[in-house]
Amino acid sequence: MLKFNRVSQLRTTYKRCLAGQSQLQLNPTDAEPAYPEIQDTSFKARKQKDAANWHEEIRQVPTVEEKMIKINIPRYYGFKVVDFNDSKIPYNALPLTQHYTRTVLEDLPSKSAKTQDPEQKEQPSEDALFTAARGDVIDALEFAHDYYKHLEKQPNSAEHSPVERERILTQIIVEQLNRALLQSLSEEYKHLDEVEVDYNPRHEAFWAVGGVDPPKNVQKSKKGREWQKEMANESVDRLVQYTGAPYLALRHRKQLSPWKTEAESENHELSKQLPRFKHDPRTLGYSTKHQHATNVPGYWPRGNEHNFGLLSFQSRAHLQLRPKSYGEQDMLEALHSLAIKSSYAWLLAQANYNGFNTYNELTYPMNTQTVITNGREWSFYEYQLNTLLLHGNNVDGNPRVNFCRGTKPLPLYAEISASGKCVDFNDNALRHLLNFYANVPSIQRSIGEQQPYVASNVSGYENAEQRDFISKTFKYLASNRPRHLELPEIYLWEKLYKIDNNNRAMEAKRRFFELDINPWQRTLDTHDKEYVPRALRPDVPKNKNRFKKTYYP
Amino acid sequence: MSTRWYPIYQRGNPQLRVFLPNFWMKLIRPTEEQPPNVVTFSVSMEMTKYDVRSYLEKIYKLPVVDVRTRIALGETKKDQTYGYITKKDDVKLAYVTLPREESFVFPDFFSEKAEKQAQEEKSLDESKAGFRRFLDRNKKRPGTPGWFSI
Amino acid sequence: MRLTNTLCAQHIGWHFKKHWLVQGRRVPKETGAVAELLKLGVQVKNPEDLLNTKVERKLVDIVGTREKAVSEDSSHPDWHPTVCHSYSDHSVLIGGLPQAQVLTNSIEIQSFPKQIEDAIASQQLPNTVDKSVRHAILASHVLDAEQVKLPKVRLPERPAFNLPRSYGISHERVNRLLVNKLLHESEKLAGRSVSVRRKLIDNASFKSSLNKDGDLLGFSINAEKVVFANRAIEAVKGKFEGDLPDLYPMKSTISIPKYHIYQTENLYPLRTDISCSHPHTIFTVFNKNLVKNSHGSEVTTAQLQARTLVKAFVVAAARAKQLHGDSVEGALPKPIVVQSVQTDGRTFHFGVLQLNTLDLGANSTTKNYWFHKQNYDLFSECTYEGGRTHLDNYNGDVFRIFNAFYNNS
Repeated sequence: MLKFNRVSQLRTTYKRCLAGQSQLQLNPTDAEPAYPEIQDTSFKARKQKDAANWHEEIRQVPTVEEKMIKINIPRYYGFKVVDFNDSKIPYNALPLTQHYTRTVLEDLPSKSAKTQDPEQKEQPSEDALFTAARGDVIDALEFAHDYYKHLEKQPNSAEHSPVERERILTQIIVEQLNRALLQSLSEEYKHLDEVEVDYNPRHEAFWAVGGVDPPKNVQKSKKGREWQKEMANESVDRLVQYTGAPYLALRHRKQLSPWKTEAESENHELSKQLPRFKHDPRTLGYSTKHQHATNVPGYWPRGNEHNFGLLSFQSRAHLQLRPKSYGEQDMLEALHSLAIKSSYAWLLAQANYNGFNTYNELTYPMNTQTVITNGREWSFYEYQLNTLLLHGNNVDGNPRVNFCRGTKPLPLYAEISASGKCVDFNDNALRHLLNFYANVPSIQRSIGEQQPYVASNVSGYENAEQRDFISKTFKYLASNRPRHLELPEIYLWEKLYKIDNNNRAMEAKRRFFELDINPWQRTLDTHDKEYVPRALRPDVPKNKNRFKKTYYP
Repeated sequence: MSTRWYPIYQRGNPQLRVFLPNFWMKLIRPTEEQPPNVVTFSVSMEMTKYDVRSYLEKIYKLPVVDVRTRIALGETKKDQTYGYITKKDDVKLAYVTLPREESFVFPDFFSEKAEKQAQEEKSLDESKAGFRRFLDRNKKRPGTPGWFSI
Repeated sequence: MRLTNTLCAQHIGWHFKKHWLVQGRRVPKETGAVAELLKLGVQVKNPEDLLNTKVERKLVDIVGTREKAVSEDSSHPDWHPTVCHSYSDHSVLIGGLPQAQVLTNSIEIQSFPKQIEDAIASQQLPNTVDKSVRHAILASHVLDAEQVKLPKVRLPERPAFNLPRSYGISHERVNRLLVNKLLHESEKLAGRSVSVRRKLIDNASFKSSLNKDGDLLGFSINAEKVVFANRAIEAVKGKFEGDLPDLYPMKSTISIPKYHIYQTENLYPLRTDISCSHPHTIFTVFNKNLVKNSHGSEVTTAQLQARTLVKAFVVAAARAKQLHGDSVEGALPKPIVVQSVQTDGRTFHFGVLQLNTLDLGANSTTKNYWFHKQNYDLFSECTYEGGRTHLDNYNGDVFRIFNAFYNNS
């Protein structure tokens, strides 16, 4: 009986299978069967596919914080990054900066030609506004210098280096001018009432750049393997971390309108002409360091709705440290590259809070304005971010480019006379500054359009433990505090007698480098879980839930 | 300037001596690819960036833009017989940046020599291969003289 | 050879040592040669003088890598024989507000001046202002992205515990942002007509020195934010009577450190001839990690309020001396009014000082006026926990007072 049952069951299954097959294959409407795509199984293709999958995984992660954690997961002790900060610009840095940010540099068109046609009627009120603002600005300048003179008289002021002194003076001037301009313009331009002012905010950004020659150790290791020999000279992505702190930054909840159209931004010819810097950035004077990837536009994600940058005031005090032999032309280029990298980094950090990152492409252009100043000399830049994809083959394949346009440094005044009066005030420079303030941010997108890759936010999570875990991990990464246990050290004697020369062959191999463990390769989630004391889990058996859960994305 | 003491003259020493200065710079081939306007030198350990710059500017009238230096660890080597470790001296390397329009190519003095050597090796290899062919041919007929063939 | 008793018995090193001691003390025999030579008129010199001539060593003035530290004793250029009670930012008046009153010769009036009270009562703020202020608080307390190592936290009941160091926004930055943002809100409400008559500066220092009953008082303070106005604040109308508290057995200068090295200069950060040079409001920050009682106990509310008063007093005194010269004494021709706000980011203490006289002596007839009220808490707690921001018990009155202070003229 049992046997019969088994046989009948098998028979029915077989019949069902046949029926199904016939349905699949013998459907007369389908002319051709649909086969899955044939996949390229070469090593390179698999690598590329893995990378693409990882980027897709990052895109799928629901919240901004988790995306950042996800990017950081491969390294427990931080990535090796090129230190791209706002206080060091080596000689001839412009080509590298343009390559690393995929930026086309242009001259800022003079505003007089642009504004005259459409705003002819507004000229009188503009003029009245301008004269009022001019008076306020001169007043603020004189006041700032007067106060700075007092600071100079203080006993500890002699200790400051020229760079610090310039920073102090410029900070005062920028804050005074910003206040004066916000006051005098806010009646005419209502958007200035809504701006959020950041004082010395923290701007950080992380991105990956392709098209750079591989470092020597990578080349060597590949040359050591027969099957990788051909790939030894292929470019390897460099990770870049920007760190900066402008004097002041203004943010608004709406976006500035772009000044390059979609068609102009997507230009293969232009992207081909971009300068390439294939050598290692260290050959130019940049240094490298290990740190976690951080993207910070000055505040924490979901902090407020003022998510888009309007204007930032960058410092040029450190340019004093450059030797005279660099020359005038390079000074100008240094200003350009400072503007490019600070604008790019700030926009990238903002984009990051909207769910984009260096691996997930931007879906709409973003704009900002940057002023570089030492109080007297002012250079004005506008930046349009069109693309974030710079990694891997994008250096050749990505048709989109970013744009930066700017002016030479313009003196706002010639000097402050001994009696504290402003001499030779330059209206042209002030007009530029006013135009930046008067540039009304007008673009507002729906949340879905603005943040297409962000599905939810951390504060909306039901699980309090998960919320806590994510925000703590995120802050831990963003603060870049040292890890609780430092990196294991290789002592010099070990390098000499154990690694470089095998002099202690009979000794037990216990150290990490003898066990083929690379501590840099440790991933973020390889750590012991936190123990929960028994008192905190009274109702479960004592061997259950002993460790806190982790919620790595 | 020389930081080295001149040896005190003793009777019988040569009368005239030439002392090399302590400051020397040796042009070396960079190990990694560099921009064309960067030149690598191995310099004496006492020289600072400023010394390197004025050395090149004052003596060779070179337009120096920037100088960066670093100290490279000398190699260690194990003694073949006794197994102790010896270490070569550390080297100070100076990376000198010239104006961007300048370009420097490390001179290739020995390309001819290398070519000649390669040719020699090639002819040697050919004769070796010929001999091997000869051996192969005669492998299966032991005892027959080499000139004997069909 | 082993060091044995037998060996030691044979050892004559000890005898050599003794012999040397004896020989070292040998006195040369008097041969009479000196007397003979003197008789012949030959000068006799002590061989010690010839062999061991004293060489005078000169100090070489080496240009060092840094300037030599000036020793803090009577050779210091600023050293004075009379002692000075030097009040600085970190000083705490142990007697609290009563001591500060006696020190500054001020009577306490527990309300604000009428014009401010009226302004607080009558001002009409838009409904959105509370939202903006809440945002300002959050933006400065939790949402700013600065991450620096914060001071060590100790558990009082377990003082030996080493807790993990927390990272976050530094106290200075929290307060700087909070005051800046609140001022920004006030300026937006006031409009250009008012704000153009004000100027703001950060970290202004004020110095002044005064005599009180024979004691020299030196004040050197720093105000984190100062508002200057183009016109001085009107003196408060009306006459106020009151008595100074009796501190007996304490002296009014108790707990102010005494120094011999000091400067008596008067310092006011701006010149008199620029448009906005009148002191309007000072904002000072109270950081409990920096301002401490010398015996380690926590700073009390009264001590905190004393700090607000003294800071206002120093600003007013420095201004008075700048206007009327260093020699000014006694009642001022025109009273100087300074508003003072002290905060630690959460608690606010508002006060208004009217400086009528610089005579601090016990038998001065005119008194200075100190208007203030109790401390206000802007909120009870502002944290970022579990991915959510919390702002508990927000108190909207604080901003209303703040705004009234800003608009007062």
